[in-house]
Amino acid sequence: MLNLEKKYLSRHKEFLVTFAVVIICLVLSALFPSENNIQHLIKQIFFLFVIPVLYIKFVLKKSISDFGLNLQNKKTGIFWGTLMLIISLLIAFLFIKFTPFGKQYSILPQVVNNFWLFLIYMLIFVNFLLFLQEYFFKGFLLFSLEKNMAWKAIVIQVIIYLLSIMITKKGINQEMWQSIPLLIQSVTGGIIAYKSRSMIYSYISGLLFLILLNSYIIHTIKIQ
Amino acid sequence: MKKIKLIFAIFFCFSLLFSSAHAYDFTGISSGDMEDIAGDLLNGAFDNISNFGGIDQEELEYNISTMNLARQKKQAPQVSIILNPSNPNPGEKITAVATPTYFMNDIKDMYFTWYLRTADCPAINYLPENKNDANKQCDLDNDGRIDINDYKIKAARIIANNDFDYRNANYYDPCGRLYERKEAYKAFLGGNDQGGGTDPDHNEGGGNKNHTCYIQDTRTGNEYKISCDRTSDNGSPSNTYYHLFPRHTTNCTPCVIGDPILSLLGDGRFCSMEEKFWHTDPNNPDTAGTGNNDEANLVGLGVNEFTWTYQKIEKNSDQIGVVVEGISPDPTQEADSSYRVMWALLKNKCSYFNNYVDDYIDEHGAFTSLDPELPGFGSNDINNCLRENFIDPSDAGTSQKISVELSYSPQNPINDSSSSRSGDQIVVNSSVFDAKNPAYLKYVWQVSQGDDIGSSDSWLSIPKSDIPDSSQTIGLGLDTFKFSLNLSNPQKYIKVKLTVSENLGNGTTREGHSDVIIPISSSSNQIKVNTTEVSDDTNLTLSLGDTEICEDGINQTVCPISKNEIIGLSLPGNDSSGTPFSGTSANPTLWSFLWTIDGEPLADTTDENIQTSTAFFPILKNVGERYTINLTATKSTTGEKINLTRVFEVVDPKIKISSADTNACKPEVLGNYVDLEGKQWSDESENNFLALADYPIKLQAKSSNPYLSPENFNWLVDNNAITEDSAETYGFNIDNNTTEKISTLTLPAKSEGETYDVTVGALYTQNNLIKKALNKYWGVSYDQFYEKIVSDDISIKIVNFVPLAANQPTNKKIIASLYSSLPSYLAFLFRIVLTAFVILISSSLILSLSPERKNEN
Repeated sequence: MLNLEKKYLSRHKEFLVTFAVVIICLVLSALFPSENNIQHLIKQIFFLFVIPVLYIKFVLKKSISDFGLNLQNKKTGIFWGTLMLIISLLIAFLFIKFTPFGKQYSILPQVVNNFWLFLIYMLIFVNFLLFLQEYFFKGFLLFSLEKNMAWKAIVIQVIIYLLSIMITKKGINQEMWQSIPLLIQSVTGGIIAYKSRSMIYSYISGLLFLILLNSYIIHTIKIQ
Repeated sequence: MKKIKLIFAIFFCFSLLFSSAHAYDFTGISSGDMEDIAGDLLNGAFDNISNFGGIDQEELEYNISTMNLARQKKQAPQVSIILNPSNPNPGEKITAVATPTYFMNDIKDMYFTWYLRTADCPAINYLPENKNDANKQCDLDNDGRIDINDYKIKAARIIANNDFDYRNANYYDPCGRLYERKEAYKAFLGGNDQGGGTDPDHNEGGGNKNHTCYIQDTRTGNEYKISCDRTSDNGSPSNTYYHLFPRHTTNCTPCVIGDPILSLLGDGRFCSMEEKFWHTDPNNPDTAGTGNNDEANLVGLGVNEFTWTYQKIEKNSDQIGVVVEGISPDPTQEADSSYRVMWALLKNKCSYFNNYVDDYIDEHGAFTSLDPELPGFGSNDINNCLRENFIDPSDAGTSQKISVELSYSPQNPINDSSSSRSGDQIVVNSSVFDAKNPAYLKYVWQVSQGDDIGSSDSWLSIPKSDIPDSSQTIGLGLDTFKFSLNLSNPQKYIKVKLTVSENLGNGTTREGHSDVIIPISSSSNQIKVNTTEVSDDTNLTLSLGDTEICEDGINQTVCPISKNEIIGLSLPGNDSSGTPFSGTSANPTLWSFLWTIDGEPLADTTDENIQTSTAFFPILKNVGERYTINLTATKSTTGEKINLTRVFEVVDPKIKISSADTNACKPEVLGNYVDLEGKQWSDESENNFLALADYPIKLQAKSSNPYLSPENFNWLVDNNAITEDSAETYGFNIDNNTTEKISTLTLPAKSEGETYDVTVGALYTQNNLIKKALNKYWGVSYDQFYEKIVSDDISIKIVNFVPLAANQPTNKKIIASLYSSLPSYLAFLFRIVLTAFVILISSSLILSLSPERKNEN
C-alpha cells in the first residue's frame, strides 16, 4: 500500500507541485495586500506571469513555449480561433437577449462617447490584463493539467477560473454579470488552446471577442 | 359726560333768566336784530358760566371741541396675528394666532374667516380666458375664477378637515335629513352670542334685536351704516344676513324632482353633499375636534388659530389673512339693545371702500347726518378689501433681527504682560434667540480694548496675532469664544463683540449684534507674599519682611508654606490712574480693602481697626491642606474694583542640594521625557551626581522655608561633619549667604572612579518672636509648636566625561529599521519578490527531494 502511494506520488509529483504553485499564485494574486491600483497591477504581473515563467524556466527547467507561449499549429489555431469567436459571440448574444446581462453589464462612461479612448482602453488596459490572464489559465494552468487530464483540463481550468472570480467578487452577486464575457472566453479559449497547443490564438480570439462585444453594447446604449 | 352736559344746560338757563333778560325789550325787533340779540345773550351766558366757580372759558371751549370730535376718534375693531414659527421653512407646519381687539364679544363667540393663498396658486382675481383653464387646485368653487372665495374655501377645509381622509369616505346620503343633522350650525350676525332678533325679514330666532352693520373710514374716523342683507340675483332681499364666510351653494336634494334645496354655510343646514364639498367626516359631527360641530368650524366660530403646511415655490410663498366678525363696543342708534356689527381686517386697508366713499361724496355732497348710511355698499363688498390684507410669513420673518446675549467669566480677569503668559483665560458665552437653525449660524467675534467706556473712538481692535491662543473667531456654530489675557500693553477694558448672521436663502440674511465690556486687572497687581518681621518689644508689631516668596514659577500658582509661620500679604503698586493703593496723603482711605481667608475676613493685627493694603495670616493647618486668600478692593471716588486671589498649601520644610557649577558636576541623567510635540526633557536623578575628574565640585543647599537660615545648615562629607571653621582642615570651603538663604560647599577635585557622599541637615523650628506673635494675635499656645530635622543627601561619582543626555538606545534591529524606513512601494516590491523567491525555492526543494528527480538529474 505504502509502495503504491509512493509510486503514485513520484509519478504525479510534478503535476501536484505545479498545481500547488498554481493555487498559491491564484490565491496570492487575489489576497496579497496591495494599497493602490499600481500595486494591484504589479502583483498581478508577478503572480500570473513572472512566477509561472520563473517556475517553468528554473524549477521545471522547461521551455515556456511548452506552456502555450508559441505560434505553432497556425492553421488549427486560426480555424479554432475563428470558430470559437463566432460561438462566443453567439453565446453572448443569447445572454443579451434572454438574460439581464445587457442591463447589468457596465462599461466605463468615459469610453462610451469617445472612440479613441475606447481603443486605448481595449488595446492597452484590457489587452494587457487579458494577456496575463490568458497566459496563466490557458498557458500555465491548462498545459500543466493537460498531460495528466487531457481534455478534462479545460473543464478544470474553467472551474478554477470561476472559483477565482467568486473569491475576488466575494461570492455570487450582481458583479458576476461583469465576468460573463470572460467566463465564455474561458470555455471557448480553453478549447482553442487545447486544440492548437498555443495560448496566443486563444488570447487574440478573446481580445477580438471583447472588442466586438463591448462595441455592440456601446452601440445599443447609444441607440437608446 | 352726560352729567357735564346737564350742568352746562342748567347754568345756561339761569344765565338767560337772571342776567340778560332784563336788559332787552323783545317787542318790535326785526329778525336781524334777533340774531344779534341771541348772540349777545349767548355770550353773556358764557361769561356768567365762566365767572361762576372760576371756570376757564378757553379750557371749557377746548373740552367741548374735543367732545365734539370724540366720535371720530374711536378706534375701529382690529385684528392682529402672530405666526409661530416666525421664519418657517417650506414644508413646516405654521400656526397663525389671531387676536381681535375693540370687540365686545368673547373670542369663542366671534367668527374668524381665514383665507389662504398657497404658493402654487396665482394672484387673486385671476380670470382665465377659458373657464376650463382655471387651476383646479386653486379654483375650489369651480366658477372659473380664482378669487378670495377660493382662498377662504381652502382655509375652511383645512380647519374643518383635521387630516380626515375624505377621499375614502362614503358621502352617500339619500335625500332629506337636512335640519336634524348634528353637523348643522346657524350663524348669527355679529357673533354667536347675538342671536335673538325678531326681525321678520330675517329668520334669526326670538328676541328684540335689530342688527345693524357698520364700517369705519379709517381716514376720517366716520362710521357708516351699511347693508348686511344678502340680496338675491334679482336684487330683492333674501331671508338671511350676509356674513363673509366662504361661499358655496350646494344642492342638498339632488335626487328629488322639483325645486332643489340650496344650502350655504351658516344657514343651519349641513347636508351630506356639503360634507363632501368641505371634506369633513360624514360620521363625525366634529371632524376638527374643536368642540363645535362641522358647520360651526367652517364658519370659523371661535377659530382664532389656523395651522397649515407652509409652502414656498421660488419667490412665491403662502399668504394668509383673516377677517373677524363681531360687535363693536359702540351701541347703535336703534331703540333696542343692539350694538354695531363690524368686521376687523388685518391691516384695516381698503382702497375699494375709500374710493366708494369719495365717489359718493363727490356725487352727492358731504354727509350731514351724524349716523350716516352709505347706500349701495353692503357687507359683502368687504370681500373686495381682503386682497389688501394678506400677510406673507416670509416677509414677517425677514424683518426681525436675531437677538444675541453675551456673558463672560471670570468676572475680574487678570492680564499677564510677562513672558510667563499666565493670564486668566476669558470665556465668553453667547445665547442666540429666534434663530431658525442654531447649528448654521455664522459667528464673527471681535476683540478690542480701551480706557474709556463712553467714547466709541477709544476702542482699539486687538488683532488675532496678539491673542494667539484664542479660539476660532469666524465660523459656524462658534457660540463660545475663549482667549487668554496676555496682552503686552493692556488697557482698562476689553470689549468682545459678536455678530451673528443667518442665511435664510434667496440671498436674505438676518443679523444680530451684541458686545460685552470686561474690566481687566494687571498681574502687576497680584498679591505679594513676604516673610513677616515681629518687633522685638512688648508690642510685637507685625511688618513685612525683606524676603519675598512665591514670586515666580509654579509657586506663583500654589505657594508652599510651612506650619506655624506668619505670612505677610500686600498689594503694592498703583491703580489705573496712578494713585497708590494705600491712598494719597490728602485722602489716605481712598481705597477700601477686604481680606478674606477661606471666605472669612482676616483677623485684625493692627490697632487701626481698618483693613489696609497689608495683611498677615498664620499657618495653622496641617501638611497637605490649603488656604485661599482673597482681596477685594474698591476706590471710593471712581468705583474701580480689584479682586485678587492666591492659594497656599501647607508643606513640610525641605533642604535641597544642587550643583552650583553644572559644568563640573550635574545630576545623572536617567532618561528623557518626550511630549506630544517631540520636545524632550531630561529625567535627572535626585541623589546621584556625576562630576568631572580633576575639577573642584561646588554644591549649594537651599531651604524651601524662608525662616531656615543657612547658618544653621550642617554639612556632612563622607561621614565627616564639616563646619564653616573646620572646612579648611579638610580642604573644603563653606560660604553662607544669608540674603539669598543659600549655603555653598566647595569640594576639592578627585580622580576618576572616586566618590563623594554629601549630606546637609538642619533643625527647623519657629522663631521665638513668631511664636509670641502667634500666641498674641491668634491664641496659639506654646505647646503647639514643633521642631523637625530636615536633610538631603547625594552621592557624587567622579568620571572623565559627563554626558549631557541619557544614552540613546542602540539600533540593533537593523532589518526591521530598514524595512520601516523604506518607502511603501519599495517595501511592497520587497515583499512580493521575497514571496516569489520563497515559492520558487520551496517548489524546487520539494521536486529535488524526489528520487525520480534525482535520477532525471
